[in-house]
Amino acid sequence: MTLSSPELDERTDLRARYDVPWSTVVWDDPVNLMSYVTYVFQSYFGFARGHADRLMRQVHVDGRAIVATGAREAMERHVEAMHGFGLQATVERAPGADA
Amino acid sequence: MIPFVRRRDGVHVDLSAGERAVLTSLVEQLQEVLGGDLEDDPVATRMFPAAYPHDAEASAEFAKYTRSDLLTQKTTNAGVVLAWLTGARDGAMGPEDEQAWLRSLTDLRLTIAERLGIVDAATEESSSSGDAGVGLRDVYDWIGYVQEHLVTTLTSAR
Repeated sequence: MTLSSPELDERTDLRARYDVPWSTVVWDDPVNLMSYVTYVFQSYFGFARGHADRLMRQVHVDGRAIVATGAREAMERHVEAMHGFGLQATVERAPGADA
Repeated sequence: MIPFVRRRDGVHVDLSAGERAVLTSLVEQLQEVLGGDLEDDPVATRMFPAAYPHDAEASAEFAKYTRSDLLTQKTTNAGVVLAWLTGARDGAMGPEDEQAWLRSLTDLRLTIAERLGIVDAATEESSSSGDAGVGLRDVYDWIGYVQEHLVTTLTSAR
């Protein structure tokens, strides 16, 4: 028996693939009010007013902002919630995770 | 008249009869949109954006698991708002009612923005200065005011 079986390698690879961080991105849109976006960031993510406001401004000025980073499944839950609020949100690999 | 008012027991709907009538008609139209063939309606891309813009397969998978829940949620929200508009519900709103209002007003704005062709700051600007669709644009701005007022009322000191 070898120390590293192909089966084990595969499992490790799989785990590595699912461990890479993903992010929730909220995009600027011409419809949603700035006050509403800040409110959503505060009420859903539990961010303090100042932090929520900074993220909202980043969305508005840069066109997008990463509002959460973590496991892919969790990010999909966030994106679904954002869509429930009517915000434009997507899932993407976190910066630097694409190695 | 201001749309909402905070009293000791919570936030109340304070819209005039005329305002209620306008919103009722709009929410009923939203219900029709939600109950119609959304596959062929461009508003669907605003209400249910692709979760993975560069991966159609992953987006389809995401939609498969989320679309029907989101649609049910939006439909329920519209029903709740309608109940408050028609007087079937009255008094102080609970947290679910407040959420239903906030989200349904957003769905209304997303739908009207699609009809007005508002996709960015430039088209937003032009839709307010053009002759066509002035009435709808006024409604769009008014719903924005109603929503802004609700956010302000909800976040003001209790």
